Amino acid sequence: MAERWSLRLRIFLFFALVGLGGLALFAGALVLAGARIGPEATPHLVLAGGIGGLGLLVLTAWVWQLFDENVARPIMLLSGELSATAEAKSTAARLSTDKARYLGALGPAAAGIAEALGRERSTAEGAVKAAIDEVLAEKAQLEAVLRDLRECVLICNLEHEILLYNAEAQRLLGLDAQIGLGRPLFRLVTEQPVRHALDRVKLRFADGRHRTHHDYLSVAVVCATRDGRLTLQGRLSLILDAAGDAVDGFVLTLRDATQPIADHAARDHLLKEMLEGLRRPTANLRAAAEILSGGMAPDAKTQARFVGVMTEEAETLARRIDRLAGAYNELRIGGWSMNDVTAIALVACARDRLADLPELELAHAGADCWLNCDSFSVVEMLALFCREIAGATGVGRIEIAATPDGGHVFVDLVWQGVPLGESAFEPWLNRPLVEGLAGLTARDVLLHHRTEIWSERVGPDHARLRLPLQPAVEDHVSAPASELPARPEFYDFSLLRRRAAGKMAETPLTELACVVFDTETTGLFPSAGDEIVQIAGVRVLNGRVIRGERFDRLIDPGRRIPAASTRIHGITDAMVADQPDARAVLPAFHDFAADAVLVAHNAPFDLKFLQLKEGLIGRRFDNPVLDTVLLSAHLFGHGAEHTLDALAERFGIGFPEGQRHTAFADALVTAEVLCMLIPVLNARGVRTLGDALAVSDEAVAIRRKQARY
Amino acid sequence: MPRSVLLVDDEPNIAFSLEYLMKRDGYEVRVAGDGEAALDSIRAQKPDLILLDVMMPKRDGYDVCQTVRADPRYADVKIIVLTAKGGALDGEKALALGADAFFSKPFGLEELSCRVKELLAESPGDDG
Repeated sequence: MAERWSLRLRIFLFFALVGLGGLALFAGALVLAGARIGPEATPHLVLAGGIGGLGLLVLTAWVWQLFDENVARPIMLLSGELSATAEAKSTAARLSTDKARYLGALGPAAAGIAEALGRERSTAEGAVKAAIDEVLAEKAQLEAVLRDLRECVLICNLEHEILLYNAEAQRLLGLDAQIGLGRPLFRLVTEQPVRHALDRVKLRFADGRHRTHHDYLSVAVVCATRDGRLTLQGRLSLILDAAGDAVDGFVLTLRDATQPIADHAARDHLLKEMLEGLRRPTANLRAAAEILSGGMAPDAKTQARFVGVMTEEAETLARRIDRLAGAYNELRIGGWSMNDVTAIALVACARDRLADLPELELAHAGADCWLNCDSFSVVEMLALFCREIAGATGVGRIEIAATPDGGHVFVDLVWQGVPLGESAFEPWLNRPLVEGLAGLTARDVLLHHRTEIWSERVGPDHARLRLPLQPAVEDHVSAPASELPARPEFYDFSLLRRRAAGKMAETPLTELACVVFDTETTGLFPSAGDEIVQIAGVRVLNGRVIRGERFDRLIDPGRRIPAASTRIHGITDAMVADQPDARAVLPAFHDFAADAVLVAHNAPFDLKFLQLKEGLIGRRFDNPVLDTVLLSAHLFGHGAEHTLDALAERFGIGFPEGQRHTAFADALVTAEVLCMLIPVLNARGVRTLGDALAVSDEAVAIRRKQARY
Repeated sequence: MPRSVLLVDDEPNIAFSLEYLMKRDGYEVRVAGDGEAALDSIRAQKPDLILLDVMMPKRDGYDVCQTVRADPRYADVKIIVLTAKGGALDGEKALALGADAFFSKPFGLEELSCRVKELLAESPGDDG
């Protein structure tokens, strides 16, 4: 019991004991004195005892007061400050020690401890900050690498939901915005091959065979896009948890193998056709020749027939060879090393290879141009030619120009002087280019690129070495830039440990996958024939707007747009004239919103338009629906204003310049409003989708009642 | 005086046929089996036309073609390049090096015969 009393109380009780005990002793002593002296002394003793007792009490109280002021309270204060310092995360721990000046060395000692603690903390904090900075830098590098990797990378959890994808994945698989964080992988690629690969490698892990397996936890996989457009080839690797004893998910790296596989098939086909196509006429030719030359001695008429056969078959052979040669030249030049590159890049690399010849000036001339080649070996070859040209002719400057002409891009090395003789550069072609390339010669490089090289005069006093190469495979000039934002939200590893898909109603709002959308229409009366002219949506996942995952389409409403509506959303008849109609766009939107909660500001209006089209597109919009108007009404009361503008202003969200009343901007602002509402809802006990739907129902009921008055 | 044709090919079988064809057409025919021999033969006596195979030992057909064209004395000599390479660029290279025409093997003899006649008609010949 006494242990729980405060220090000051205990000291007070101590002094009280001293005071009262002293008083009792004093009284006892006086009673003893009174008994010895006799009753006549009683008044004097009472007087002296009263004064002495009072003095004792006053003295005790005074000393207690001093003690309380200078010892007990400072100790309490100090201990309070010490425990506050221990609790606080602050590094600036300074104790007010002036009140503790009568506590001897205790005050300075405590201050010393607090200061040491502060120093320790700031060191630790600095280290933590440095570590975080380092992690962030590494993360940024990883993001950059993933973003720019020419291989499609997907990371999935064991529920096959996508946790990460890169720009190439979006380019390759992202048709109709099907790709997205938290979305099922198998809506993008065929299920069986990937599942099979996953099962194989999981089994390998479970058996512990991966420790000795040369592929460790990875396995080759060939699959296709769900629409059958592309054949994909790559690898699947398991991701283990930190301890390395459970599977968390997997990485899928894929490449578009459609073209290489088609090339391979074409090559095989050509080879087969060559063998079979040449065998028959050759057999016929050989038989006829043997009869004519052997001892069979046919008569003149038969001889003439065999000569006819030979002529015919020889012509067949010649035609077939021409056709095969044509087909061979049509085949793409294969090999992993072929890549698109600019002429300027080739020249720059060749210049680097010639750094040991400072007296030779190598310049790019003319316009830049893309071409397709094995840039490594071509650079080596160009460098070799420059070196040899300079050696053979003594020129100090060579210009390299690339000119598209016909089916080729001609790479020309131009110098002042006369052309090189064939016999002059023949030896260059047969010398190994660089070490470590298996003795590869310039001749091999020419052969691989199915090209020739020659030297000719150009203009009155210049000569050039011509190297025809293939034009670029991809369109680099008009190809659209990637639509990914500069810093895409293309991964979310919190999904790695998302609990197995439970009932959607129990999903916390903070973990919800939503599609926040908005429509622009021809008017306000869907049931009276008004139509959608624009629909846009953006995904919200785990309380975060995923700006890169958007849907934004114009729709031809199949009717005129009233001028009054055009004034609001700015969409004219001309703008939608050649756009697809609702039958084409809404199924794509349905796909985009699959498995997500649909959210809109004043959802019944937009939803009505969608529901009226369900028959037309043969799909139902049966997603759970949240309405930011109703959520706001629940939080801020039914008297407040709940327009999108009012909500945006309340949360400090700005519309993009001039974009209010475009479907995408409105959807984006609604999405941001939703993300602001979720924590407020949480604080008010509305935590799950089910809770949010329940309060929405209440809000509907209240608003309905209000509408009656 | 008949026009002269120099036939340069290291393959005796095709040389045999071509020699026969050119003689049939009334030309004086000489045959060389490689690039060196061809250049020697040209220096010894200038032909009106050369039928030149590309793939040969020592100096190849491109080399011979370029060497002949580099000498202004032989500017009026017609050159037809014959090639067994099937690449799209072989013909382009032959023309770039100064050939007047090129044929990919296998070719039709009558077609070649016509082209030879056309080319020789373009140049009047030494005796006018």
